[in-house]
Amino acid sequence: METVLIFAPLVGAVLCGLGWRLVGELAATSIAAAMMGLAAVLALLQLLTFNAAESDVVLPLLRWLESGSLSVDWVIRVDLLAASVAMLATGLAALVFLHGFAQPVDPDNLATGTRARGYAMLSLLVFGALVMVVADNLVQFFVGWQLIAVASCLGIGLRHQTRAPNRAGIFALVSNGISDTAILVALTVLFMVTDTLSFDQLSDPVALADVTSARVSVLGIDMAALTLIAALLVVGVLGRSGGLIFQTWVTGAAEAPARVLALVAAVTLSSAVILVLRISPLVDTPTIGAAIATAGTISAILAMGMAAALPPGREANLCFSGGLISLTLVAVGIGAGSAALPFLMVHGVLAAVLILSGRGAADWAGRASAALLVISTAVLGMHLLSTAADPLSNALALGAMLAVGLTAIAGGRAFFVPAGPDPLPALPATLADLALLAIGAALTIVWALGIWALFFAVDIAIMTPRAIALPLVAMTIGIALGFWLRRKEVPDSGWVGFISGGFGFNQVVAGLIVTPIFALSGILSRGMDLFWIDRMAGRLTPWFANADGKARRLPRAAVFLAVYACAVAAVVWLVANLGGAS
Amino acid sequence: MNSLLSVVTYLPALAALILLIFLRGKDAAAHRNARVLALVASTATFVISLAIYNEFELSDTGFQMVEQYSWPLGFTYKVGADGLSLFLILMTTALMPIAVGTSWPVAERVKEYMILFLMMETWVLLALTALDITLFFVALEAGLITGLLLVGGWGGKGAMQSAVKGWIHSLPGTVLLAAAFALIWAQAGSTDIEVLLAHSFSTDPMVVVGLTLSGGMQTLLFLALLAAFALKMPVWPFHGWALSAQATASTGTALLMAVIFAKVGAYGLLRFNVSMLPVAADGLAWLGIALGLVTTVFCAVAALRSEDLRRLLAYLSLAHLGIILIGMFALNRHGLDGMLLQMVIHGVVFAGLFVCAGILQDRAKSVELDAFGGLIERMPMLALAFMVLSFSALGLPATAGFSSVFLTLTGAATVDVILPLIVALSLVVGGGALLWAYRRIIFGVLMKQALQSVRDLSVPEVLMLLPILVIVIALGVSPGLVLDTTEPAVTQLLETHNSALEEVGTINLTQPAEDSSN
Repeated sequence: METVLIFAPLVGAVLCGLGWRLVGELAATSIAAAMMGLAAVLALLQLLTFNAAESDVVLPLLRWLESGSLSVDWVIRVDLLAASVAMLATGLAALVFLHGFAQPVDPDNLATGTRARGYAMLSLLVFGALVMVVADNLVQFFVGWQLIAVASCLGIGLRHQTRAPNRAGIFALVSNGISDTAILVALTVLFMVTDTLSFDQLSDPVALADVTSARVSVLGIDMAALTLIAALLVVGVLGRSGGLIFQTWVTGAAEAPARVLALVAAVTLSSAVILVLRISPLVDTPTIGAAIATAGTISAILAMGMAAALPPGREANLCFSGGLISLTLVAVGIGAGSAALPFLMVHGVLAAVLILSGRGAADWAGRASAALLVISTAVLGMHLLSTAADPLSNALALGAMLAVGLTAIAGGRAFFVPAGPDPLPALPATLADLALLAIGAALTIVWALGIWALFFAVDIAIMTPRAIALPLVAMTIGIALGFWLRRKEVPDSGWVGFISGGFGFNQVVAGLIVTPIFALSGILSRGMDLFWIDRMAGRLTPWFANADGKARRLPRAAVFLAVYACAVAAVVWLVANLGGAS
Repeated sequence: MNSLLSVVTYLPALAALILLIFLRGKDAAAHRNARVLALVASTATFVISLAIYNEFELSDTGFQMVEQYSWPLGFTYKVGADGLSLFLILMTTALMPIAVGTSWPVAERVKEYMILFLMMETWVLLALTALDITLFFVALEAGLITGLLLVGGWGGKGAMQSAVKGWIHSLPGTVLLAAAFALIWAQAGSTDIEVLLAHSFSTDPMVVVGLTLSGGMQTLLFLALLAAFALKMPVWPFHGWALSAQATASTGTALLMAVIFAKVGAYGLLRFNVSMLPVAADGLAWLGIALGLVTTVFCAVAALRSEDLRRLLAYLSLAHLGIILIGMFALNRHGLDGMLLQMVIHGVVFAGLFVCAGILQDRAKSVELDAFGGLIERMPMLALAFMVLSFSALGLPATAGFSSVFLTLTGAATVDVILPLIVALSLVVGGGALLWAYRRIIFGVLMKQALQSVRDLSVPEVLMLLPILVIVIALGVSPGLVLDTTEPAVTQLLETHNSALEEVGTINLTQPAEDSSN
């Protein structure tokens, strides 16, 4: 049953996406809907028959990645979270498909074939969610995670004939790519310090102790692994849920057809919460939990503020949905994962209904639904406040509650920022260090912009000396400052260590010497191409080509080849004799 | 003595000889015969090469199917294959029929083109199987010259200049390689790679032009070989010639140079720098990683600016070669596994992308991105294939690219966590460029008059792309198909590497020589 449940949406996606030209759009979409319906029925059965007292259902499918101590397989593991999310994703998708058949006129006025491709994308999105949630390791989870992003972005850009959805789709993919990068790197760090990516083993106290105590090197700077993982997870999770600076892709998704948008809001955004639920043992550590709760709170405030400020419509709905997801992240961050799951399910249904019915969070029905949710949230918050012993968790929960109350009910702007100690203690110790780091970073940014201009905006042949010198000077100062800051932590690493150790310079001088050389080598190589190699090539080309550019017959080239071979042979002979002598 | 490797290596050369001697005339029939013979020969080579896989003993970590003959003037012909080279050999033979198929539109001097094409296959296979440094050097140089002749002789506007430029660029590499090999011979007294791999090159400090060099001969050889192979692959900052060559050559030649020949350079680094000079490799790994990192970042960012599909693919291909370098010089199990997988996957994926570019060029008579738009309406099959391949190049899940990138990043993280972060972000940037190009080519409204009646993939084009797509998905779902074969060789390589370090001790090449010698 589990295997059919997982693969039915994939079969639907393939048959519908590839076969609609053969069997027609109606038949193809019917097949996809039937497959989704089958998956939904199986998911319901799975959920109804699920017994938490028994051990999870585990079905190994295929060997996958084996490299040294890394060993991950394709697996189906069904636990309560998997069964719940499977029900949510397949059930909602089946309803969305039914909604499509029930509508006599397509509100999105889609071109021929677009509906079939859309159904295929949605089936693929659900398949991604299922692959993700039944994983027993983080690598398979990540595959499903990315599959969701890809299918969502293709769905957003479904009406590719129009410029806006087309751009929104690609933008969403790149934006998700950036946050997915953070997750991917978090995985590699996690594996480095625990030697496992299996959920079971990561729950083990020994592995958790490894993570808590481990230190890693970032650009030679020693830092706590947990702090780095927390920062990366925050970027990944906010990127997926459209929090903070990542909300642009979510509001851009408003260009998608309504049915796609419903599932994007209900499943894609929710996947961020599913990730933190899956790694809850890690999230329960104070650093990661506090980081996620803080980020979730600020995101909720911003998203709800935007939802209130925007005119009623899809964008407002999406912001509202993103805000609720952020709030759920807060709940998981402060250790209330079990309360977050039903909240997530309610959110999924609400978001889909709101979007499909075209109602905004700011109109009457939307406000009523929002008010209900806010009351539920307030109840949840009160529960958390009464059970959480940690003052920081209390403050965050209160902040989240206040944020929702301020934004969703009153429609006003939120100014509340939670108090409490900084949960990411990775900054330099003194104010002077901090100031220097800031200057260094600013100058390095200037350098990056300068190099950008150098290579891409302006032709190098007309660059003035000042235009070349300024970014180089800025970079040199910036990097020298950076090296000065970390001079004690990394005595001998990288090329600077090589130079400073080999020639007795100190780190700052070595940085000053090496960095411009490193940058200049690129410019010189380009300059060589332009001024010397091109001229040489121009002179030698007639040996091989006629005036019209066509290749010559062999003789003149043969002379060149003979000279070339002799030169190489001479070098070989010389070096062999010199080498023998040494 | 088993002659399977020689049969596979020289079968294309034999076909080239038949073309040279027996094919006469310059009419359409002669051209067709040249194409068909090249296709049959390269396909037969691939089929026979499968027997190599069949005969290969996974548990044997040494060279297998070794053939050795003494040639005049003291030269030795010795070939063999191990876990590090096996899949590169198979990749080469598998991609050659596709490269020949991609070259079908070549209409001028087809006989000469196919002769050089087949010779190129022989040179590459010889370089990959050579167990003698002289043989390797000859094969590598001959392969490069053959490739550049193909670029210059059958490319578009500016191709001849690109070829000559490539020649000038790679000349220092040739000299350095020759010098390094001569030094190796002088030091070890042998040109046999099996002997050289067992030889312990000196790490005693030595004086070179007045400077004391820590790590001695190993450091000197390492630097010379690194520079030589960096020029041949090529990597930043020596990449200019490869870009213009791949952008101006015929599609088949671009595929050959970017996908197949570049791997010989990477294979050289693995075989000589990493396997033969373990102490220097350990001490100077940062240099290889730095080269790989800068190549990846530079080429991924530069791809954003490309208005020409072929140039964009060339940039991305080079960015992926940078990832191969990073995995290689991470010098750990995950990095090496990821790098070997990436070598094969890079070949398959970029071969597919170059085939797509060739098909698009055939239809629109241009590779400028502005020449396309809305092709999904007329070419849905191409759109699907192009999308799957683009996703794989991005390292997206369930495609071959993901497993190799993930393993390489995991290996790189043990060196410094910033490495996977920068590499992964570069992949996003490069992938963004590719997706943006995809959008401009495939999506939108079909406005261009010239594209209104283009046809979708023909049967031969499907036959070229289908196996590539199957491999891309198969290796994505089950990368063990490659990793199981390379695992013993990588284990052996790491054991040898570690025992060499234990024996000699890690030499701190960042300290003055006097300190390290204490």
